[in-house]
Amino acid sequence: MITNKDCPLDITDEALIEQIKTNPDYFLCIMNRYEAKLKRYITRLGSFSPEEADDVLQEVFIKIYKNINDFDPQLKFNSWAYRIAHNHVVSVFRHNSARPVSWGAEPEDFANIKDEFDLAISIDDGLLRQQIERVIGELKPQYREVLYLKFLEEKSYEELSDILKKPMGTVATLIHKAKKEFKNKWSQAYE
Amino acid sequence: MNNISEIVQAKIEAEHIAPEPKWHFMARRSVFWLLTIGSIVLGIVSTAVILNIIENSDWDAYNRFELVFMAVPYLWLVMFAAFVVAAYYNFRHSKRGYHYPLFLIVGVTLFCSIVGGFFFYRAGWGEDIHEILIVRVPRYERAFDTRMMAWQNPHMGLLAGRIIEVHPADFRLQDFAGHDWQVLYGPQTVLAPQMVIMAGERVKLIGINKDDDIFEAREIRQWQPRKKNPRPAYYIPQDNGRHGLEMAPPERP
Repeated sequence: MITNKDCPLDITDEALIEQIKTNPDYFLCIMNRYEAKLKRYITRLGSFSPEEADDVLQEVFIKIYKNINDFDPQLKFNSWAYRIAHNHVVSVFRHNSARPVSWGAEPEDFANIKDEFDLAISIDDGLLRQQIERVIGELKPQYREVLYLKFLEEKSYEELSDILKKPMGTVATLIHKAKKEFKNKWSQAYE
Repeated sequence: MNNISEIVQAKIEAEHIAPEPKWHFMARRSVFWLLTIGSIVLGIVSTAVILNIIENSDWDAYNRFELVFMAVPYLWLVMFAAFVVAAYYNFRHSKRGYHYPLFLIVGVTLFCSIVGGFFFYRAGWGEDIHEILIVRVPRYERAFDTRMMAWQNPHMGLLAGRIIEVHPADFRLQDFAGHDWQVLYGPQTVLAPQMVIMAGERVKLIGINKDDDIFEAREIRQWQPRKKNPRPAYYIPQDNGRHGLEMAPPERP
């Protein structure tokens, strides 16, 4: 049985996946690496309570484990794991007929948004943070997600293409439209 | 247990959850590839049959625009579009299919279907497939071969059907709706090359609707002239004075 302290730190995710194929106990190590990242992603994709997000994350990890033999080494494991999380959250929304309403962003997230959209705000300003949250909450789910992945997770176009399973041109268009919609809603509400 | 990873690890062990074997994924992916290839092949077949129907549509005979519309093989065109969509859908669900934009996948599928279909058609396979479907699939011809509608308009000078009885100056014809006609013809009637007027032959007639069940033929064509295996040259109609036009025996060298 592998425990947290047995997890190798100096190998890539992809090499770790190869180890999991021979010894499934190493799956604990990959979960450790992705627990915080995927929980944040899942939380920001939807309006989940912390408990719901934990449940969804567990289901995502089980899915990753069951599909580990489908992992394509030509992809980054990171993109593949995010894709599974994305698909699972979308299917949860579909199943519950629910839609995400909030981004659940944290103060440091606003620095990137502020720079990207040239917003003249102080990131310490609680009121303005609420305003950004509100505008982001009004965006279509696919726009909200792509903005999150691009500007907060700082994923490349190729990674976004692999996560969302869309051609890179479509990803670029999606980002462009998302930014445009954010700017429109921002100026309608606060300018 | 204080984090999700450990909870999941315990759950995997307790419920004996195991990764799906690799061959499951390979089999699933192979199905998508087979469906992609199958859809493209069916697109090629559709193109070949459409070209065959268009070629045999006798556009020169359609003296009114509505007849042209009637003769367009709509169902085959719908089938062709459905196969292109199916090829796109299946390719898009292959492992790396999402990398390619819609216009590229649809463009390549259309190109393969049309170019492949053209070669099939040139090889005569469109004609073969169409005839096999006519024989083997009930109601195929009525639904898919829209020429039947165009040639079922005696008041516009077009009539088609099967010859059921031949006489010296006329023959009886049953049209595709089951109605019997007396068809008048004579020396001035133009016969298509290798046309044989004999019972059982399916023909297209251009002429004048004289009465409810009398049609004067000015031109007689085969319903589905065969390019691939046309009748031998000695099948030239001759009047023997008894049964109307019949086949002449082959000339001896």
